[in-house]
Amino acid sequence: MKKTILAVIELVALPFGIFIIFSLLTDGFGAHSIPIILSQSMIPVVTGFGLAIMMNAELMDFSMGARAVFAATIGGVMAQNYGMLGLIAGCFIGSMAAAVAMAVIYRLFHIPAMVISIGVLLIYEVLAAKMAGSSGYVKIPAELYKIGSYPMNIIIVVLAAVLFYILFYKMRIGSHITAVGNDEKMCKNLGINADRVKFIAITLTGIFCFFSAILTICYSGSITASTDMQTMSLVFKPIMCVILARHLRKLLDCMPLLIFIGGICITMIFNGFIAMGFGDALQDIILGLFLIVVLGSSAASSELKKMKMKRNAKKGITA
Amino acid sequence: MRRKLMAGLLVLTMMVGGLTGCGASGKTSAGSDAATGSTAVSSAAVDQSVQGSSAAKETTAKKTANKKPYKIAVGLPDSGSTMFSLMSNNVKTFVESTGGKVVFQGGVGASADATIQFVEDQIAAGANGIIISPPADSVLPTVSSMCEEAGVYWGITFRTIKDQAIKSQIESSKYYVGNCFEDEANTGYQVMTNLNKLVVKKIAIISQAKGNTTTDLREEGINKACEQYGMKVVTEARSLTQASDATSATESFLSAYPDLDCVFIVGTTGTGMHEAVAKAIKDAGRQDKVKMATIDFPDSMVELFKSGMLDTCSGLPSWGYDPFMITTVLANKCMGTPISETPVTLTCSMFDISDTATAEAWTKKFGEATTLYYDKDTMLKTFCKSNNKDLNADFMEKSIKEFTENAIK
Repeated sequence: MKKTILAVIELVALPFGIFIIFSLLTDGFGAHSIPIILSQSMIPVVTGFGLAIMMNAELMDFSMGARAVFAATIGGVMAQNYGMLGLIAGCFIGSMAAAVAMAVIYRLFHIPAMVISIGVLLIYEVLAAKMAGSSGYVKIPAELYKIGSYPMNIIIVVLAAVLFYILFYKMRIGSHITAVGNDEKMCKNLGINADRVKFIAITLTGIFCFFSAILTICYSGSITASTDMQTMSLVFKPIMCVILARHLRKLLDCMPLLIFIGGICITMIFNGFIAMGFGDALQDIILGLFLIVVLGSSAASSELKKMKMKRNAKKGITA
Repeated sequence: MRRKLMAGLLVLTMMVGGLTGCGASGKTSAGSDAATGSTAVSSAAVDQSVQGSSAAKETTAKKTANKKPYKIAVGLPDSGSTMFSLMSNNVKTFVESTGGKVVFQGGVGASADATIQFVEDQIAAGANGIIISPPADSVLPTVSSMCEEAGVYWGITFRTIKDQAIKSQIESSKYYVGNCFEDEANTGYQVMTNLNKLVVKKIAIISQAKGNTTTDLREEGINKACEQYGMKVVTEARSLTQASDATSATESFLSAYPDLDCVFIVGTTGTGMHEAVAKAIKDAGRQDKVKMATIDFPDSMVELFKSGMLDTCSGLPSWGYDPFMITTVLANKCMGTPISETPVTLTCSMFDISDTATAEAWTKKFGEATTLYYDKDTMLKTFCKSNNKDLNADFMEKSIKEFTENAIK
């Protein structure tokens, strides 16, 4: 219990520390920034849930952004005729269809998931652009986008987090995904059908892609059907969130909370940079350095631990 | 056994692929034949459209139809937004009316690699002329040497050449026909002057990544205005591709700078960005204090002016007019009737829209993808050297000026 409390304190210390640093450095950052940070974190966090499933199964996916845009475009188009129901149904059908199609391709052809994800990304981008028509984007009316705007977006992400927690920690499939990700051969020897597990893992990302699609189209009231692999950039922030979450996992094993903390930290850094008036290039450099320092310190500490364990083991043998 | 069969099948596929590859030149000539065929159709179409109207028109079309067939590749998308479709319709109308063929490809200007790849591909596909919008000057010497080697004419749209050494190098090539570009720096300066009149002092910009020739020049103009009028660019966001990113960036600007006066969209490739910025300003309840400005007219300009969210914008009368003009220069060269022996440099000036009525007039004319800058007959009579002996760089500049002045009349 004491350990858990300490871990939670350590976890909270990271975003809290970043918040204090930026608050001291600039007047433009402070308590008034919190609602913006919370609101802006929601899309990367919910996309991160989907990516965490993929990454846990040792699969890499760059198509989550494209799939969300594709689903949101279907939702946006359906919303023109069927209102709220059309928006939700369109986003759900689009995201699930996209995920199932990707899973089927993976199961049938056994091509690395990263390669498939780039292939489907290109396809979904073009399909979304065709659906969006000559304007290149789909707009939804104000009364519809309110369902995914602040503070409703936080409620949606909490629901998604609960679902993710149940899938990841309380269901057999969650354990199977982790096991397959850790050692596929061993799982096969134990009778776990690794291909089936990976198929389900990819399909499950469709659920979080649905939430991501809803939040993305509601955030600005429109969705841009970008082509030329531009949607790939939509997964960079979520990937950072998941990497940070996986690093923090040694403190507390609760991925939804960790991804949320990762999302808050990354968004806070971006907002802090803007408040400090940093240029775009400098923002990228400092963010890169931040990730290297945080992840590098993790690697160094685990190396130190290993060395310590080896030394202790040697001592034990000698004794 | 199955593996052996599979291996055999793969070897067979590779051999067939190899044979097809070896037959490339044959295929190119076949492509040429096909192009000739399409030319015949196009010429017939031109003849048909012109027939019966007047004898002069008939002569014009026949004169043009006698020209050798050619193929032009344009490194811009032909669909995805109204401005792309409008541009491609006009370029297609001119090229096909003069017995040529045109292909479009998007994403070419995104990187140096994409530009070189496009030029390579189009040379291999048998293009006689290529138009690019290069991401940076550094790519131009490579493009020039590739085109020179292949004997393919080429021109630049939307971009000027900042590096003087590169400029003189490529201008010495007989395959380079010239460039058409917008006065970007002056446009940036002009929008800032308009904003200064609206008592704007602190500005946040949304722009492309550093190194993009267009937005870099626009920002040069912005910086010049900042020095002159005591204005300041306090923050920036770059390379936004999704509307939600624009909303998010604007929220951050507004949160970090309570005294922010304006969000200026200097350049973006994403659609729906302007509405996304407007939504963020409105949601923050700052629409009375924070102004919005942009370069290039968004599709939703009228709506934004009506709602009072957009204060000033500047752009070409039509985005596609610039590639259209350089296409006419390149097409004449490909047809063997160059408008000039030396490369031409054409400058398109932009103009401001700051009220709903002008925005409506503009949208009525250029908000439709089917609008032609000139009717087909005028295109043939005016922009074909074989029909218009006066056609030269000065004539082109004069035409651009007239078009800009009469754009929304």
